Amino acid sequence: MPAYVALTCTADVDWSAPEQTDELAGYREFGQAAAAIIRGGAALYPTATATTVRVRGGKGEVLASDGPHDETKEAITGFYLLECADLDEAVAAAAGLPAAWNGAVEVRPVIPFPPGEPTR
Amino acid sequence: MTDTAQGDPLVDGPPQVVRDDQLRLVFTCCHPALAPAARVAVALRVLCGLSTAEVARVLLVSEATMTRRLSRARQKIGRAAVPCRVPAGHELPERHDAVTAVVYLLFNEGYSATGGVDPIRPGLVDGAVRLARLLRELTPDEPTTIGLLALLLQNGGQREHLRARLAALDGATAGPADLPAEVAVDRPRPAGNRRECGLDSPG
Repeated sequence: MPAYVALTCTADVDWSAPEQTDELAGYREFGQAAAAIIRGGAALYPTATATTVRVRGGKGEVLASDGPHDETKEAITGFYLLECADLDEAVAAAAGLPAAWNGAVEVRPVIPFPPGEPTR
Repeated sequence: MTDTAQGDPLVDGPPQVVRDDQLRLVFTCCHPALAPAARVAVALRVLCGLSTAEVARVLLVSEATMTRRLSRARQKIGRAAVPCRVPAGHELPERHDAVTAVVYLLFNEGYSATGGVDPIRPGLVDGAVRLARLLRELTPDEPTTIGLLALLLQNGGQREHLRARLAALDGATAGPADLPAEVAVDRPRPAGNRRECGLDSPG
């Protein structure tokens, strides 16, 4: 069965802040409604906590810089790993995420590497 | 569920059910997850049987561009598991424009082929008119559909007329008696024309 990652792209929020309780309730509802197809996922701390890593030059110099990879109005604030029959099912599920209402959800198919290959 | 003429479609369920196989597949190809430019191309290539070169000419892009566009679409269909599923009634409107474009372009290619020996391809014309009729039945209140069918019938009706004219221009076997008056007038009269132009001496 194909797997998809649903990236929630919304305003940069701190899910751990108390004022996000209402917003999180929507995600909790989604979690229950889509329990059968959710294989994993996480909410992320805001982009202020992000560190972007790049390696440049022949010496393999590690450049770790403060902030997200892309400074945009909307940020990736979380993700779900979904296992669905096809794209239509994944899109229907993603439409149930609050992020789809006040931002966007990017649905991307996951490459089905054999067990033990790059993903692990 | 039965279709009721008076029923409210929102209450009684979708009366729009695509019954024809080819039209269903055209709707299926016009999946909104595909790039708009790719939907029409995929349908023309896969369902209407046009070659990649023909699809490219029909959509006014180079063959190389069309090859890339089709292969990207195929790749997305495969990798993202875009389903080949008949869309539900409520999904039809968002696919309607692309389907209309497919039917129109199919007709166009049949009416005035972009390549090949025969400038008219009756199979494509007939197929397009058939699809346009079905589309009209499916969405009777959609102005685009009504206009499309009218256009196709109007131009399709001229097809035999056109063929006769082409045959006449080729100096083929059709005699003036077989042709509509308008065509007979246009039919070149080689000997007479040549005389008129002073190429042959009279007698």
